Amino acid sequence: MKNTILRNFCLLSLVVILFDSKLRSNDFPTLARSEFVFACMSSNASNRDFMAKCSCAIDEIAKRINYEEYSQAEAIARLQLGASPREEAFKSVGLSKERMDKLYKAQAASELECF
Amino acid sequence: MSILKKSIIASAALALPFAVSANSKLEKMMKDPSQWVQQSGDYAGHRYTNLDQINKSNVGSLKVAWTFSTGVLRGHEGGPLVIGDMMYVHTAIPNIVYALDLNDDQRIVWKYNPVKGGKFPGGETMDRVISVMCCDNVNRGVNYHPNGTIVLHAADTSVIALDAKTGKEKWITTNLHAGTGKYGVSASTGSGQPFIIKDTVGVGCSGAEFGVRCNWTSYDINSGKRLWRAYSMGPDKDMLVDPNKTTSMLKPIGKDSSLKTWPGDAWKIGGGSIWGFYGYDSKLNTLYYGTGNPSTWNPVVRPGDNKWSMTINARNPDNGMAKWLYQMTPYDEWDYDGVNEMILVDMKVKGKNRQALVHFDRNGFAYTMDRASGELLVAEKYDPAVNWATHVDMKTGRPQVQDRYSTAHQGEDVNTTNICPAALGSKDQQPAAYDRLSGLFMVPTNHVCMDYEPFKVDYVAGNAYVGATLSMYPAPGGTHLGNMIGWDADKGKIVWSNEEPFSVWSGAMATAGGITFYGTLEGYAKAVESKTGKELFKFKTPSGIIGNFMSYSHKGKQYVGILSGVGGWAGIGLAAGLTDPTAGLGAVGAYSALHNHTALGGVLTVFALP
Repeated sequence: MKNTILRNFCLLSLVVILFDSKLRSNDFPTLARSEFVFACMSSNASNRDFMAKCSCAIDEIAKRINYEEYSQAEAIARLQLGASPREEAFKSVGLSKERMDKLYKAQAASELECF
Repeated sequence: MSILKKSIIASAALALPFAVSANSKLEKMMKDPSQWVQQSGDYAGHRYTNLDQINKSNVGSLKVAWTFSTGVLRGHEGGPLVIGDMMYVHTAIPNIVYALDLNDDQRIVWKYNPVKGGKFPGGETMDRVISVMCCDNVNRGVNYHPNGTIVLHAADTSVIALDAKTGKEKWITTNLHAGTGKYGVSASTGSGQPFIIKDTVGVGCSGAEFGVRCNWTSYDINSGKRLWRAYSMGPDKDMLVDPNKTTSMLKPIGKDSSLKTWPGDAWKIGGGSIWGFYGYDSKLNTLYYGTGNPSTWNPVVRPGDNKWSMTINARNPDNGMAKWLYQMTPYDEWDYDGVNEMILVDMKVKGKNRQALVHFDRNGFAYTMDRASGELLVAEKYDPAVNWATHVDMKTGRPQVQDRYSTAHQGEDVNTTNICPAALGSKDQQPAAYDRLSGLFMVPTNHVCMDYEPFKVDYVAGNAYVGATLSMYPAPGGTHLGNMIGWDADKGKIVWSNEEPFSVWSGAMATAGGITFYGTLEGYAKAVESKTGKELFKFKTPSGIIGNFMSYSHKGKQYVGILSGVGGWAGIGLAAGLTDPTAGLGAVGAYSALHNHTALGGVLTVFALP
């Protein structure tokens, strides 16, 4: 009986893991990870210690948000750096807020894990 | 007869055929698909290449052949040119031009930077020009004249003729004065392409947000001497119109057609900027361009049609005289600039062969006109979300405005809501392409609506003169902000439509390989089947794409090029471990300097088959 419960629990976990990994496909190309590490080291310090921390951070982010969502958040962040009506348009739209919120959450988690 | 007189006659006799041959030489070059000699590919603005090496069946295996970093951040609109074995690439401010040798691994042959000691040729500092520059410091590209000249229209409105071989300045003239409001025009800037016709180069101007009165000005390509200037609004003589001969909706426009449509002197700061992509028909000897919004954005202060803002202009390029005018959005209340590209196509419209002009306006209507007579043939919505007008009355040519979306009707300090399209328009400057195979137009569009609240603003020379608060959001019923569409300009109908999460802000290019290229704000370069819109290829470039696709061939191989680069480098904002992680996003605070990182700024990506 105990075994069955344990087995069921294991099966359930497996399903959850499979389902979860499908949702969060951890699908970042290496180039995107490298760019993040480059940016992260530029913002903090260009040394071995931060190479490790920054690599850890992008891996944690990639577990929590898929690449499509990440590149949309990146596009929004980029647009917000150019001030014009076009860029203004993207500040208020629902998608921008949704994507950025999700990214912030992933960032916060990566900070806790890696820094 | 004196020797002097003889030589004058001789040079006059020489001058005329030369003018003709310069034009035909350029047109001949446009027909050679191995080169890309003007921003739009050709005068008709088709943005179509006859090259078919890259086609429907093999585009999926397209690879990056080489890349070139421009070293400049911010928006990279327009695209490179290829003349013979040289490629010319321009950048956002400071408007650097590079000449690359395609025979020698794209070695930089010369680099020209118009900003010297922090100042543009007109004398304004780069910082001052940036402060009055709308829209991410963009420039829409250089153009070529067959006498061996590359022309740059710099942000401070300087027109700069460069020796195509050496990059040496041949002549410079500052068209209008950016920044300080001298010469009666304030805070005009240059972002539109310089347009070559015969032995002239013509430029428009930007800055309708700053209370300018814009114009088209034509210069002699050899000397830089000013030939004529046509204002978008004002007295007849300023606008180069003939009250009896210039027509609109096939009727003469009459005397003072513009002055009558503005309160008092408001036309003097009336806007009407010109910065899109233009067209030229050498057989009809006619130049086509569109004028932008009337200033301010608050319509309450300028009752009247505000002619000839928001207007398609057909002009004689030799003297500037207007042949016909058509105002798409009389009395603009939404900032629907009429500047978008003019595409000239000989096609059947309602069963009749026409010399047509097709124009996808910001206001959400796609117009098909007879480009010889100015007759309005088709005016239909190319985004079903468009609601500010029910339709265009084909007899008067006027849009039938709905009161509930009229910001003037609702009044000052009232927030008019759910207007579609937003001020960005159903399409902005991002030029559409014409697919000669299917006869369809490939149109990059916005799918954005807005709330618009006009307020009173006093004009101060050199300062923003906007007078409206806007908020924008996706059109109802979806979350996506853009569509790439295939359009039938005869029937006025969408044939296919692909949703995009963001506005499609890059220029399209159709090819004889049955495919169309366009780019997205996330940075994807995409190829779709022109007939159906089916996606065949996708590649992520380093930044967002707002540039225009082009193609050329070198040593028998076809290449496709696109500039990417939008805003700043987002990397810092996304990076972890910052003391204040949000600081990076606002481009303020301790990390703002890091945004100047140019390592990941504008990049030209060139594709080829492996």
